[in-house]
Amino acid sequence: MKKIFLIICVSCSSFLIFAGPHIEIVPRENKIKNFPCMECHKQSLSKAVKNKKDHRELVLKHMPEVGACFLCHSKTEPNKLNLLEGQKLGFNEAYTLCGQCHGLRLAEWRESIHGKQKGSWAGDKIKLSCTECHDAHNPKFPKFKAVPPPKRPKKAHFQEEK
Amino acid sequence: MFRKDTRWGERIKKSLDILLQKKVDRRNFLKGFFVAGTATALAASTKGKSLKQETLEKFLQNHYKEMSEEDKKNVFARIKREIKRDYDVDVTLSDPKPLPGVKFAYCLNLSLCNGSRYCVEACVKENNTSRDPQIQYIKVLEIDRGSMNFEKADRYYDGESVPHEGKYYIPVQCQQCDNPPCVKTCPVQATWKEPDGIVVIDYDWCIGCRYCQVACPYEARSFNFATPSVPKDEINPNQSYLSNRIRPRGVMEKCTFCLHRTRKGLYPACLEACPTGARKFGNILDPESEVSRILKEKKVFVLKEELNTVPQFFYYFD
Repeated sequence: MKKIFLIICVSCSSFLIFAGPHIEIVPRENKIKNFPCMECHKQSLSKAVKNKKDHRELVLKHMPEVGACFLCHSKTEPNKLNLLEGQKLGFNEAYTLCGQCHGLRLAEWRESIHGKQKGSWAGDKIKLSCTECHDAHNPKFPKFKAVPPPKRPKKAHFQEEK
Repeated sequence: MFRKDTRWGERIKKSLDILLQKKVDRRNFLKGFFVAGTATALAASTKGKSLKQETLEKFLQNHYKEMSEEDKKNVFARIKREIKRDYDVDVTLSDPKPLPGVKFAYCLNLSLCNGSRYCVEACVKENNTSRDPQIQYIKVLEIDRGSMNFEKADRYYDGESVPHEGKYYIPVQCQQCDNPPCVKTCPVQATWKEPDGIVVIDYDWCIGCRYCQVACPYEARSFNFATPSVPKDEINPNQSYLSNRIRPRGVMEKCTFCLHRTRKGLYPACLEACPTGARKFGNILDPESEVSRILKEKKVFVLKEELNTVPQFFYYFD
């Protein structure tokens, strides 16, 4: 009996020691404007929904030649996304869906090489999901307005224009 | 040899007598002035905390490395009083020590950097650098694609919508070299390299000769020509002796990888402000850290490698 306890103790403590830092991925669902989608899409794609014209402002610059919403969004369960193979997954795990095409980027993101992080360099990290920074429908980064440049040093007298 | 030490009092008395007998010329007058000055300073030290005593304390302050814990306590209290007097802000002054088994390194992905200068803004706020005259630790250089000519880099580019076509951006700050020319050139050893790889300055020991500014090939060091002007409501109260406390006039300053944050496990302020995630920071001795993985997987380069400064700031494209 004692031996069993010892084994359990050792294994648990070693798990705690070697488990490594905790990585938290920031959830996305509470940040999406029209979430949950089921509020409008209860009767999926009935005429009432089609006439709402809610998503007209969307710009699709992500494989525009494909342009099929249901490549990523689930037709039967609007609250979910679907993988190419048909499995459903929530918006919080959208990075798996992106990784179907961008596998190398996903691997880098898992290793914390790609993407922005918060938290601590030594321990617990807070990671941002792909769609936190990239717009899923227009993933290229937009142009930024930069902070004003530093002041130029004053010109010497011989440089001054006459 | 030093047995006659006890006779010093007698000697001074004797010399004073001789001085008093002599006619007062300029040299003797100055000697007398010095004696009188010392006497007043000593007298002042007996009366509470006067301005004169603060000056004397400052004058007699030791080098940071030679300060005992008690000395540090007194010095920190004095600095806090000075900041309260000059800026009317209550601050905390910490002194985080280098962590054992840690050596900091920085990696920057130039493919992602979009020249938005958010890092510069965050750095200025975090480190209480002077707004006017302006001191900025990070210099973002705009360079033509396909070239690496720093002579033609533009530091003052206009940023209405960045990145510009056909340009890329290199933020340059202190590279925390392993073979730092600035440390070698300091005549009073006011700057040195800490065990965790950060080059720091003892602002109270610096004499402001600016040799290090000339020696640094990355233009990382700046000089406080005037007393730093920081708006009262923008002062960061979390300060540390070696990094972001408000500098006195006439000393050098530079990036310290935000050691008041990083030695407590946080990321530097510039990394947290970067909107694209181009900046990566960590412990190079830990094989699982982000920087170690980047060094393993990417082709990194350093600036001005030929100068053998061995920077700990790595750039890469991917």
